[in-house]
Amino acid sequence: MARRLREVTGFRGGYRDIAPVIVGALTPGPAGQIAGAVLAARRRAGAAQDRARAREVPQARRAAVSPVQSIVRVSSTPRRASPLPREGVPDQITDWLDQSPGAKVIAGELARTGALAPGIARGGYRFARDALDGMVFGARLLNPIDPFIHPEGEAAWNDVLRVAGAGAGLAKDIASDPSAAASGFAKGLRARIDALAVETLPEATPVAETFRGEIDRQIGIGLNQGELIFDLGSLLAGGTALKGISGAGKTARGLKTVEHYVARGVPPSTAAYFVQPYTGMGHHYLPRRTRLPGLLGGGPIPPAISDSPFFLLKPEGIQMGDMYELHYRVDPHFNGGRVPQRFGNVRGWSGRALGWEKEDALGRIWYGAPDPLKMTAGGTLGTGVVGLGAWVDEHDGEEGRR
Amino acid sequence: MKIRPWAEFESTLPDDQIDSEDEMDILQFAGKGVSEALAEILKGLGCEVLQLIYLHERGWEVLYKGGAKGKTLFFIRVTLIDKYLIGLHQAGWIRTTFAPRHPDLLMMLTRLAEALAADERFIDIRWFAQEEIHSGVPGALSPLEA
Repeated sequence: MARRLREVTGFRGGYRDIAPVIVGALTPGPAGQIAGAVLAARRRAGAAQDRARAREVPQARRAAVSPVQSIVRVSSTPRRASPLPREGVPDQITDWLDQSPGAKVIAGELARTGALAPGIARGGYRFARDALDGMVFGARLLNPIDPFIHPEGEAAWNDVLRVAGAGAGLAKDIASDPSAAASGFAKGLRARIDALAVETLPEATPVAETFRGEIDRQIGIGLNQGELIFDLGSLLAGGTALKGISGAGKTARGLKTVEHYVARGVPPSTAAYFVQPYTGMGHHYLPRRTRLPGLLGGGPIPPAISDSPFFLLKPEGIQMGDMYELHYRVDPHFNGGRVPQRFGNVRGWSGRALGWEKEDALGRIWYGAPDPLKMTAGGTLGTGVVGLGAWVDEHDGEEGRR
Repeated sequence: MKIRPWAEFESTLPDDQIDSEDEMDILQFAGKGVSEALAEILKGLGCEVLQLIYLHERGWEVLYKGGAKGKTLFFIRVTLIDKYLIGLHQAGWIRTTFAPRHPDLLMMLTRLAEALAADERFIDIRWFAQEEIHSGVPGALSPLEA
């Protein structure tokens, strides 16, 4: 019962997911009710897709691997598995930063404060984008050929009908056991309040073990605080209700699937590799060949600088394909690469052949910059709010606050 | 005259890509052997090889000083895709931006092309401009071919 209540009301998402339903229910006329109900349906559909994707990745991996085991790759040397000698072993500075509570507190405070403005911008950007999504969904509802141009069961009205069915079931459950419904609602609300605290209060989660981890943690909290500020403001003006309408048209942009890459022209064997978690060293904003001037002793830039969060772009949880494409875009000298033997694509992949595009000089400066560096530069140069919000949204993901 | 700083070729040198034990990941991308061979060639040309840099999915880089006075910083990017793809570039954005056709670069390209052509470990060498890579064009026999 309680689970059903959470499913229909969208409680599994962030607080932003609850607010549209409540606001929608309080809005006079049918628009609010439809908005809240369609949002809930979309949330449920998104959750089902996420579960399907979670099952699909290992299956795709097996499917991609099994046929290629028969492919014999000619190599003049036997392959062996041995750990790669690590370059740039953490030096004394890195160790000191990791072990210094004071350094973490200072850097963390700066990072969180710096992330507030981008967080507000992200809220504004998402608001604008979601409102557009909502208009598109409304247009689909009015489009008589919408059911014919979408796969069976995925037309806009299917969502409305699903919600109607779920709402009827929920009403029946509430009528049969009102106390259990109220208890489930209260439990769900408490869980969301707890989650909101974790998302926006530094004290709600432990300090990270490493200096870099602490900066990442505080940036995430700062972004969430910024977006909360925007949402609270927009709630007063009915903005969150609009975001609720938009939830209906929102498409989940979570982990990429094999099908995603295949649809973009990537061979299935390579696509199976592209959906794996990225394990490389990331993009160094200062090229690894960069050398210190003679006045500073010459030689390579110390890893404590080049591998710091300010100069190393390696988004958490990114997949191989996304990171390779990002690397292809921002590194003018990167053209493609190989895939592991087991995936069977002995010819490797070429960014050009896949239709990927290179950034120009400005794009490389912007898209190649890690979050902390970009925020610093953004604040200094007074980057446009919506542009900054779009970037924050792009890099911080679609799945709500982190 | 068009400058084609990228060369694609096959090599008799061992494929030195190292996969993980379950072959689901690449622990070390190929190109170390070719990079070392290039470093030797560059030394033979009187250049000072500074560093061999591993770049994971982007392959390897040979950083060296060369040119007429032996003081200009260059790097060669080495990646194994279908074939080996190497690119010789000037290091530093100032030269890249304001002197993309610097005589030192033209000299290094010419000398490297001659050395590669004379080395039996490198087969079927073709030179490309950036926009020609993997575009289906056959490639030129020389980096500075008209």
